[in-house]
Amino acid sequence: MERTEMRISGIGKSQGGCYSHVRVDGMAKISGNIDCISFDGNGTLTVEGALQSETVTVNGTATIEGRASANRMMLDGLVTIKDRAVCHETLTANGRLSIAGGLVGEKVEIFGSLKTGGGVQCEMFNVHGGFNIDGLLNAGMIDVKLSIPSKIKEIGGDAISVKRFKKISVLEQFVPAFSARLQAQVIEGDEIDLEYTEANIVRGNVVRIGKGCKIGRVEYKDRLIREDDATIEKAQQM
Amino acid sequence: MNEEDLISKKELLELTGISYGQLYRWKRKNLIPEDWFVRKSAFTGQETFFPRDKILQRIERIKNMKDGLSLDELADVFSPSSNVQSMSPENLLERNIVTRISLALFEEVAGSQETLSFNDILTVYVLQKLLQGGDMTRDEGRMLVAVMREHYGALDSKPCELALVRKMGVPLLFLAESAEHVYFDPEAKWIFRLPLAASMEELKLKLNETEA
Repeated sequence: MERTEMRISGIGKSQGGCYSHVRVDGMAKISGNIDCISFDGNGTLTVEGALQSETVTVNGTATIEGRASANRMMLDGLVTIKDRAVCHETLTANGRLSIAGGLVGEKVEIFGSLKTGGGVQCEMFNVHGGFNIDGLLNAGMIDVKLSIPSKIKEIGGDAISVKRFKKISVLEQFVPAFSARLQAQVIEGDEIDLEYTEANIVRGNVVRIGKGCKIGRVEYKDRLIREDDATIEKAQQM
Repeated sequence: MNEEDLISKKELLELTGISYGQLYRWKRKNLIPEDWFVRKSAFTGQETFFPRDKILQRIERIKNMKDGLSLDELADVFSPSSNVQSMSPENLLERNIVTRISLALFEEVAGSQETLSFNDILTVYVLQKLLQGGDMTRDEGRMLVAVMREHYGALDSKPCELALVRKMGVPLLFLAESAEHVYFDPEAKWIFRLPLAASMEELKLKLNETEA
């Protein structure tokens, strides 16, 4: 099948379909599923269907009503996916990314915030900012630098590190609700290094509970390193 | 599922000596199916449990095989679909995957074919296993080929079981997603129940082995 290019500059509307390259500068609405080789969106765009492409680049605002799948995604700005997302290689988001379903990827880098309605699964998970994940985060390397309040149900992986990104802001000194902390139910991994985290249960081989942590129960196999500032209700070596 | 059939995650790790990281890695690679993770509330909050026999067997097999195969290759062994698409009957005979007798029986029903699809290879493989084991007569073998060819595609890579029931010498052969909750009158007799997933794993290993 011959694939043609789609280009919208200014304000436009289009049907979905199969294309080679899709480029939108301005404001566009695509009503239907779209399958292409590269997808470039600058401005405001809405895809009323699923989006499949080798690469997806967005600068500005984008809403995808269906499933999004790609090899590489670069999302700068405000992106909403109202279904699940799959990214086979690298997903980089600067700004705010919200996904109604789960996210499956290889390498996920977030500078800003990530919100998902399902679980997240990948090999590398790097966040500068924060996240709200309503499910399990299952990743090999998890490196989180918090700057906003974050929430998650469960974390599982090989190496898990949660730190604070910057010094405490003036605002959060007075309003504790704004402080950059992670709230989790269960965190399980081989090497765990936590700061400013509240969790019911932390289980691992080597566990470090650092500044500002409040942990209900720590179960560790080899070693528990505990800083003075940390609260641990119960610690148990397995 | 009964309480005693389940094993908690903690107990599993202690018993098998694997770490959380490994367990989560295997889950990511689909070596352990999502639906084996059973969530239940315990006194510490939510806990994860697994079907005891299935998970212990699976982890044992992963541990035995992981030195020879990469995790992705392993995932392929355990997945209910296959990437070996087809193979010619001669090739299968040459590589000792099936015998001439079972292949001949298969061809009696299905006609002789230039290449066999993965499902057909599986059919012949299962046929041979059951005939050799003496669980099944040749006539029942013909039924098996018909059942597999007719209906296996409809199950679309779902895990399923093949079962044979006889009543007063009359055989009834069927495929079911699960034959767990099927009950017959006392005169009917279960001859065998064969989960196809296990046969598929064996077959894939054989196919891969001889390929390498």
